[in-house]
Amino acid sequence: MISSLISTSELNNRRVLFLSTYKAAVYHWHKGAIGSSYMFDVNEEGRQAFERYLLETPRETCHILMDVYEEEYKRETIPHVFGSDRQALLQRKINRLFHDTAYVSTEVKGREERGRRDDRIFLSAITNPELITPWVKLLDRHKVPLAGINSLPLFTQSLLGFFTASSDQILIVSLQSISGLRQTFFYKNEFRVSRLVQMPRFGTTSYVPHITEEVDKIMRYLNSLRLTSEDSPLEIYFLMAGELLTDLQKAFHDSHMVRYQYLDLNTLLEKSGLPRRVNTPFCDQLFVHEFLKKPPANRYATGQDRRYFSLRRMHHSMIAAGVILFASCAVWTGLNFMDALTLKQDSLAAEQKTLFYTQRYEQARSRLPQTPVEPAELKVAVEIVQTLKDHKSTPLPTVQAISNALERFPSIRLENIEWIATTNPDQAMGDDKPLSGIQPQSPITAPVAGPQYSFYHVAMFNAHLENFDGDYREGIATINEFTEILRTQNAVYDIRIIKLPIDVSSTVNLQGNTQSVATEATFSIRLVMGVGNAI
Amino acid sequence: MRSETIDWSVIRNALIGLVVSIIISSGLVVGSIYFKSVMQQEFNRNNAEFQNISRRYLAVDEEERLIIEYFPSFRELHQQGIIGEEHRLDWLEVLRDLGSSLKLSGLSYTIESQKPYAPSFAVNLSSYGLFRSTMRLNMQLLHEGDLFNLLEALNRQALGSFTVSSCRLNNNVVDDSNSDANRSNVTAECSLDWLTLRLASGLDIEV
Repeated sequence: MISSLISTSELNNRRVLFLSTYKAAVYHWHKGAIGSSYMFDVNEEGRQAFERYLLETPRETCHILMDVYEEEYKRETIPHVFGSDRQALLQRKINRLFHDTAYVSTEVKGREERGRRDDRIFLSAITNPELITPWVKLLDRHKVPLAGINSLPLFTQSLLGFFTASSDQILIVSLQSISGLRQTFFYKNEFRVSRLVQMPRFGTTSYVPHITEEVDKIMRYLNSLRLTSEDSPLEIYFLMAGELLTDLQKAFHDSHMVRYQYLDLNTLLEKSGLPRRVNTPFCDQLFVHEFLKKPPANRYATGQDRRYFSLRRMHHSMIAAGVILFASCAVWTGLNFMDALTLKQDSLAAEQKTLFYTQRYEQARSRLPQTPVEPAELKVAVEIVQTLKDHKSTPLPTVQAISNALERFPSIRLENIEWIATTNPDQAMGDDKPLSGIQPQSPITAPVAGPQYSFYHVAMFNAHLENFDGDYREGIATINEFTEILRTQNAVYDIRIIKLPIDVSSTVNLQGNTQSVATEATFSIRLVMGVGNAI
Repeated sequence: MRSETIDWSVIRNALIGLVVSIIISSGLVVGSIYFKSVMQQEFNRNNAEFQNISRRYLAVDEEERLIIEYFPSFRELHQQGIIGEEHRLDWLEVLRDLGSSLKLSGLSYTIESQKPYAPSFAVNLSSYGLFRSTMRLNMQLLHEGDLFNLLEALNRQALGSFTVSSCRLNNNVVDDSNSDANRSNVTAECSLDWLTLRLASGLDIEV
């Protein structure tokens, strides 16, 4: 029977070890309900049986629910601080109150309304760790994930939704087969105190006198501690079943301070969703079902106790991460692959269309003569050559312009001409200095401000006056007149007299002899002619 | 959780599975990215070829027009030695013939090696390259007109196209009374740039 559990799913199944001072019971959660249960004695023999049970069952997550006498509760206040300061204060409280046990729980219950508004904290502890440790060690030895350790009285608070209480003061009385009579008091839905009493073996004697006596005791205890108030009546809920419930109804009678509520266990089990029905007055199955239906967070277990639970979660997380990663990448890869296939299809289509158009193009081109270059390049070549022709240079126009002017001045004799073709009208000539350095004080220096051309012919020529009689004034006048005639020639862009027969400017030294007559009168002229269409 | 409290046997298989999943997933991602990039490149190449051929096909009428309009001129320019290889031997032969026919008392020349030429004016070269060979001429002339006769004849007879970049003319006669119809009255030095158009790729143009 136990071995059949091995095949059950690890993820959804869980179990609880319901532990008291004398007995321990294991309940399995299977398919949303309590499944098999196993009972063990709390002694060495019981633990050996429990170990055999662990060996034969799968390592399902296990919770421990304790219902023991050795659980203490304290209410304290600490200053309202956070972080490590709060941890230090809590640890100090724990060391002072529960220094012999590691199974301690703290819970902040709000703040005080007066004074410095300290935090109200609730501390609880299993004061006898030996009750838990052997069982936890067994779980750890067999690598069973322990999710947490909780206590029944504190868990009972989560069942308050079952009761339609009209009072702020509630006392819940229940019987557990493995522990005994548990009475838990709540004030304004907040746990205050709980008491466990061992009961005689069921069936050997009537429980009514015992319960009556213990209820009276706890009422006296609550009154003595002033835990109850007179503002509202105390409501006592009996969670039992069968004949005992009927007998209790006869034993207790409502008063203005105490009201008794008798809740049939079978009704509560039905309300809880458990299809089973019980004949005994014990609440074990109700508590265990509610506990396993939605297990509460860990209260007492240490990190070391829960290490296999943490490892189990880590194990599941890694598997989930691996599966999600693989699935995501597979989907992404699939989409990428589909995109690639689409591109491949488009590529093949483009290739086929290229082949089709190539054939059509070749067919169309076969009608045309073969050309050494692409047809568009034919046009480019012809246009380049045309541009070169447009910029073709020869000194003929310049020499012709000078000759035309010389025809009217037979006294001027040309000695030499230096000519260049250039895009810069100010281009220096041979040994000539740049134009900026040309004698600015010359008689005629003003350039002809003509239109701009794409390129220019620049000529520098030297000449002299034949039969010069020493009359510089007349000679200079002749040269000026010659220059003016030259200027009127077609396409003359600029003309400058670079050198005259005599330099009469004030910035140079001038010397001569009145006894002798000068017979030489040379001069230089720089002529710039535009070529091509004027811009 | 401290490492010494970890029971590796519990998570070993999951850890191995996660690592294997990471490796396989990475492989899938990298492989698919590579595959897609290869397909993308192939598509880009084929699509570009398709765009090119379809454009050319649609422009075939325009090509026909260009061929009809420009190919005769192109062929003529090639025959004239302006497009394609230069014809130096032809230049020398023409120079020798002109020196003789013009009865020049002196005509010497030097031709520099051909070099790429970047003109100073704007010109769209497209897939072509311009090349220049500079020819320097030293001439003993009877008068200036001989220079222009020579340039005109050279332009007309020699294969190729040139432009005169510079010239220097010296009148060797002091006055007209000293001129002599049988000797060189003018000395001329000129630089001519023979320009040739070729494919920039270096391939020959065969018409």
